[in-house]
Amino acid sequence: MYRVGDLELDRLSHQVTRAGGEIVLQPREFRLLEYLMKHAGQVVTRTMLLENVWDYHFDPQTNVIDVHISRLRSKIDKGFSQALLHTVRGAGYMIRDSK
Amino acid sequence: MTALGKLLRTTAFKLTLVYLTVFALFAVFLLAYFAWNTRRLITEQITQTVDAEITGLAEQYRQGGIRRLVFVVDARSRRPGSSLYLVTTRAGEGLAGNVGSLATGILETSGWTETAYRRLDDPDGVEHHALVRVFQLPAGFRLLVGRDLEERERLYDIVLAAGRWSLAIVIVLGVAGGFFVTRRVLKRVDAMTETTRKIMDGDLAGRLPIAGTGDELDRLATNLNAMLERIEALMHGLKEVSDNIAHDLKTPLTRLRNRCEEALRLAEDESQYRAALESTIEESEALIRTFNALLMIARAESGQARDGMTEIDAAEIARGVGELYEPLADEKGIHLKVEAPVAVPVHGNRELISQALANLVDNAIKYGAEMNGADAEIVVTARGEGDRILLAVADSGSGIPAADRGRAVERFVRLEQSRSQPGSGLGLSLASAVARLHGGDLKLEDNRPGLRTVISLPRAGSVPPAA
Repeated sequence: MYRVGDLELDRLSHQVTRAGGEIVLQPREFRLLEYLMKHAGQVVTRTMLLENVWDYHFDPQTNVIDVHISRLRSKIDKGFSQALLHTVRGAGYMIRDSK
Repeated sequence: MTALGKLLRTTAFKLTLVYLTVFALFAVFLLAYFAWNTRRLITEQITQTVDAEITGLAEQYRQGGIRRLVFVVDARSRRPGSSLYLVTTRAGEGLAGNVGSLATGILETSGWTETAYRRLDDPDGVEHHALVRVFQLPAGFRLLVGRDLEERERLYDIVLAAGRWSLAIVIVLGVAGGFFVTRRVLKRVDAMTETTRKIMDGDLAGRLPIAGTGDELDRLATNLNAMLERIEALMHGLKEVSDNIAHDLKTPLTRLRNRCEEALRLAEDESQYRAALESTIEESEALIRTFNALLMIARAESGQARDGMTEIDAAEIARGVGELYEPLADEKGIHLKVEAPVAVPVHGNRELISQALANLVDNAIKYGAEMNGADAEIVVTARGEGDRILLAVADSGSGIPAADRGRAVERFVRLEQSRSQPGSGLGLSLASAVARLHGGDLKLEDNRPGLRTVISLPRAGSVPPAA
C-alpha cells in the first residue's frame, strides 16, 4: 500500500483511490503510478520510467512518456485543488504531497 | 629482382617445371616399358623357332643318322638369313654349319646362351651376337642352333634414340611453354600490382584490369573490384556521415552555448537561471538521443548485438510499441490500431526490433498524419508471410515519392527541408540497420494514400541471419 497525500494505491487489489473515491486505471497506468509512488518525493526521469515501466532500454525519438504522464495526471489530479504529480522541467517527474 | 629471376620465381613457372618432370618421367617409363616388352617378344619368338628347329633336326638324326643330319644342316646353312647352325663331333670338330668361330666353352654348355660369333663366310669380319642353344645328340655329336640378335639390337637402338629425342622435345617445349604462360600471367599480375599500388597511394577510384577470359585471375579481379567498390562506398558514406554529424550537431551545440551566454548576461534572478539551465538540459538530452541513435546503428551494423538474440514474438513487440505510442497518437488526433492477432516467432533482439518499430511509428505520427488529420489512421501489423515475418506501419499521410524512398533510409537525411519537426534524421536508418542485422530488410511502400514501412525478417528457425 502506497500513500501520497490523499492518494492511495493498493498493490494487492490493484485499487487506486483519491480522497476515498475510486480511480479506474489501465494496467500500464497502474504500473506507472505504482513506480512514481514507490519513489514519492524523488525525481523520476523519463529513461527510468521507460526502463522500469515499459522495460525498454532505448530513448524514443519523441517524448512519448509525457503523454502517458498527462493522461495519468488527468485521472488523479483533475478536479482536485492540490496537484500531486509534478513535472520537473528538464529532468522528469515527481509525485509529492506539497502540503 | 631481374626480369628473369622474377619469371623463374612465379608459381606458374614452378608448376610448369613440376609438370615437365612428371611428363618426362612418364615418357621415359613408357618407352622403357615398350622396349622391354618388344625385347621379350623377340626373344620368345627366337627361342620358339630354335626349339622347333632342334626338334626337327633331332628327328632327322634319329631317322637318318649323322649323315642325314649333316646333309640337312648343310642345306639349311646355305640359305641366307640370320639362322646359325653347327654340327660337331665329340671333340668339337665341325661337320657342317655356317658358324666360323665361337667363344670358347659354348659347346660344353647345354641350354640357352648369348654369345659372340663370326660367320663362316666372313671369318675376319665383325663379331655378331647371337642367342644359341646346344643340343647333345646320342653318340656324342653336338648340334647348335641359334639366331643372330642384330635385329633385336637395332630395335633397341631405335627405341633409345626415340627416347632421347622425345625427352629433348618435351623439355624444350615444356620450358618454352612455361616461359610463355608465365610471362602472360606475370604481365597480368604486374598490371594488377601496379593498380593496387595506385590505390594504396590514395586513388580509390582505381580498378583492377579484367582480361575478359573468365579465368581465375579474372574472378579474383572481379571480386577485388567489388570489394573496392564497397570500400569506396563505405568511405564515402563515412565522410557523408561525419559531415552530417558536424552539421547536425553544430546547430544545437551553438544554440546551447548561446543560451548559456545569454543567461549569464541577462538573467537577473534565480528563476531565470533555473529556466536557462532547464532548457540547457533539454537541449543536451536531444543531443544525447542523437548520439545514442548513432551508437545503436553502429552496434547493429557491426553485428555485436547478435549475442542478445532470443526467440521472441513479433506480435507482442507490435502490441507493446502500439501501447507506448497510442496516447501520443491520440493526442494528435490519430487513430493508432495494432493488428497482431497471432503470435509470430522471430529470432532476434527485442530491444532493437522494438526500437526499430518505435521509430517507424514515431515517423508515421510525425509525418504521416499531417495532411488529413481529421480521420488519420496508423495501422501497425505483425504477421507471417511464408518464411518471412512482416512488421509493418501504414499511415494515411502524404507518403514519400518513390524516387526519394532510397534516400530516406540514409543517415541524417530528413526529406522535409524545413525541419519543423524535432528528430535526428536517424530513425529509418536505425530501423534499416536493425532489419539487416536480423537478416531482413526495410522497405518503403506506397500505402495509397500514405506510406507503408515494412520490416521483413526471416521467421524463427527458417534461415540463419545473414552477416
